[in-house]
Amino acid sequence: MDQQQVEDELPVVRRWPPRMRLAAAVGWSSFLAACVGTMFTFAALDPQVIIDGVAYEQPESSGWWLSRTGIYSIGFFLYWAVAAVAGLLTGYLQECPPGEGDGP
Amino acid sequence: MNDGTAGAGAVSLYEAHRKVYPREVSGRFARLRTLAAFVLLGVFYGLPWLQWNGRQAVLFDLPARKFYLFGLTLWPQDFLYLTWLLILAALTLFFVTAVAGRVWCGYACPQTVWTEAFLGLERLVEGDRPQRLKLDRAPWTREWVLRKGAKQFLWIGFAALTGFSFVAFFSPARELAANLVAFQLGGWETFWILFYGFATYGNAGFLREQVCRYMCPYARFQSAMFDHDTLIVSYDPGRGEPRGARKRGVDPKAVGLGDCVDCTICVQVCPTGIDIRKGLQYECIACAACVDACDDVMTRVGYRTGLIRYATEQELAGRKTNYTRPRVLVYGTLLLLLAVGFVVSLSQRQPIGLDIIRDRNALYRVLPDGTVENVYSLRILNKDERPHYYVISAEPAGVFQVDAESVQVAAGEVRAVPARLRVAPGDLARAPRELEVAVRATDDASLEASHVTRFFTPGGR
Repeated sequence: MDQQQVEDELPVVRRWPPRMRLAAAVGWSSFLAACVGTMFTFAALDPQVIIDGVAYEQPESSGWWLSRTGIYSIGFFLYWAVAAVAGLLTGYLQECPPGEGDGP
Repeated sequence: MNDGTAGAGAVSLYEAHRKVYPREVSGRFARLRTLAAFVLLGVFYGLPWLQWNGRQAVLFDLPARKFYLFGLTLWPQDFLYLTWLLILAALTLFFVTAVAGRVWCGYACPQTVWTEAFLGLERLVEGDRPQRLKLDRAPWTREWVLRKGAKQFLWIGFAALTGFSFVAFFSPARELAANLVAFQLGGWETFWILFYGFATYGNAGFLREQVCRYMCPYARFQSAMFDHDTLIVSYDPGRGEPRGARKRGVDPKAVGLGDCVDCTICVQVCPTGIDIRKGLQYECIACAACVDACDDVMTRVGYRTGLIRYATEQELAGRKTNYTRPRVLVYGTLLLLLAVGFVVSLSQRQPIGLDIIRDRNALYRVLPDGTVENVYSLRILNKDERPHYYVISAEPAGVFQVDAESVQVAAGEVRAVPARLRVAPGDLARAPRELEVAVRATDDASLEASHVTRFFTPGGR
């Protein structure tokens, strides 16, 4: 049995189109960036400061996010979103460069 | 911009490829891989349950902001160690990659390990490669539904267990389990268990080799660490070509063929679906499944094994592999220095920290009896696991009188303590400009930290 026959017996899946590849690459690399960002931020900043601040300003408020874990999580997702936007924009700018000799 | 304008370079991206159905393989590298997977998964699922001195042995207690690593407790102030550890890990990866290629990918990467685990479950329910191929083509019979359903059940269960285990590294495992059983899990805990479980399911069940292909940065930049002396999984074309089928017992040379019988088993076992005979490709995760498969075939047809093997380009070209090249030496030296530094620094680490700030309002104060007083603010950091009382002293002791209470600092807390240092008029001449302020735990004399600061007097000094 040669290589062709082996390949022929397998179901076909399409290779990922560029946009999907970009989304996947950005999703994962911004995830890693968010991990590092979250780590550095919350090593220096204790979310308890925020919790105490909110408790002082609005003593009656009891937000679902008002816990250390909640603030860590929100911080992480914020970082992820920001890094992902930067990555997607970079990908977009790379994808459609201005034409050769175009003026500014 | 639409996809059609992406240019000629993008055309190949649309090329259809075939779904990868890795064939089962046995052999020494397969055993090594299974062993690695069992050890790593065992550590991942088992570690949260290990106890140490009445607490969880390894716990990154984020809600309490302290990390337990067996006998060690790290506070946010010890963040340097974590960064250091990450740098060490990265450097180890570089070093290993330069010497032995993608060992990480083949044996230790979570993506590989969990994919192996999910494949194992799949084989358990759906059978070996031909059976899985047949099942996927079969209509929706009762057997199809049962087998696919059973697989999904196992996969989802395993993914949920993985999510739970992940969260158990950050939130005490025993409490977490008790809360789970009582349906009293916190919102965020539930969220992260589901999030991580879902990621595991997606990555190991569906994406598999696509993660290495499209998403992994290491797969792309590892070529920067490779050279001609790096161990890679390679096919020996000099020996194998021209490939082709032949009758049993025929001398390949007589029919003008090399040792490759073109059985394509090496392609069938490949988890990323590549043909190693085309040379090194970035998709290759160096799992050596093709090495095992080819050795097996070679043995059966009565040829020498090693047609596909771990080899360097130098070795394939008939030269000797150079192990003491600059790249390896530089990575190795850096790694050694950082590792030694890490161990020394960690062993010298004092579970006490001290910081002294002078009172900014006045340099000094002269009391009615002529005594000169300087005021300081001490910040005492207790990084130990239990509270301590600390006494403050100043050297030389005969000259400086300390007016400060002994203070209690709770475990992991920082406490600011005002301290007044006084020098009697008769001692002023003997008072040095710089002095050492020390803090010592009352119950453990080894817990001591000191800091040099200045003492101002009206003498114009």
